[in-house]
Amino acid sequence: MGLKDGVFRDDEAVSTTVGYILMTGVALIFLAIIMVTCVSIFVDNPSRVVMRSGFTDVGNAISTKIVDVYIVCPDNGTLTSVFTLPAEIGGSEYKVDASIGTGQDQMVEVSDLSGKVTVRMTINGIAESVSVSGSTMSGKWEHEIHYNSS
Amino acid sequence: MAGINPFVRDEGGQWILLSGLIIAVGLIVLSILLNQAMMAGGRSPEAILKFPKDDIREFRWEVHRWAHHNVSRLSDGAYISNLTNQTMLLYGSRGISVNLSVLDVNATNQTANLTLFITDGPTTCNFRREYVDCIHESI
Repeated sequence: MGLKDGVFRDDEAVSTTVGYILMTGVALIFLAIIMVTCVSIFVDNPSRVVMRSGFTDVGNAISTKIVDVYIVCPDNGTLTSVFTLPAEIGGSEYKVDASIGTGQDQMVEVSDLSGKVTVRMTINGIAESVSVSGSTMSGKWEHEIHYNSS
Repeated sequence: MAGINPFVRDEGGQWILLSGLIIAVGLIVLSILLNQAMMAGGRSPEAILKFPKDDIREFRWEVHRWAHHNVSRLSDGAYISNLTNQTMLLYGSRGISVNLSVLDVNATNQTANLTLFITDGPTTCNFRREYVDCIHESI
């Protein structure tokens, strides 16, 4: 009876020191949980934003280059253009595929290897008159666009 | 009680504590926003965009223009050789290597087939058989 009264009827709470320790402990546990659960906010999301932005740049640049090659390519001859790409964007290697879709709707697709981020760019429908195909991986030292009239 | 430090027993700062909490939450929100925003900027990979589109078109156009004005000399080997050397020097000063030669000439129809070659290093363009029609083409 004396114990029950002591626990439930004690309205003086804990001492300042114990209270401080309890509050600090609760805050630390809270922080640890936040750190674990917020990885997606602090790491995954920004890296996805970086990848999307970088892939858009790369996709635009490659589609522009393909269209440029189409504009100046000889009726009878060859045209080869070598270029480099960033090996990684947002900490991830990626693949550039120029054979997505057919005809007017053909597109250049840039995607990371895990498939989390995929960006597609049109090539102004030039695949309707010339056949565009091929793909490359960002890890390669050099990349090449090759045109052959025959 | 008189022996205890009044600073420790002072409980009148609840609003200060609360405002400290609000500022802390605000800082966390700002840091998340900043974290998102600073990643958004990117730089286009300029190495991909470098392409001598204008040089290729200009070289091709110049050769066509030259052929139109020199139909009678298209079969003159020495003249062609001299012209090729001059063109190579001209483009060479801009870091571009070019070459041209005459495959065949039809003096009656005033047409010719040429080969043109132009490269700036990364990009190489080879016109295996460039048809020039000095009568029907408009330059």
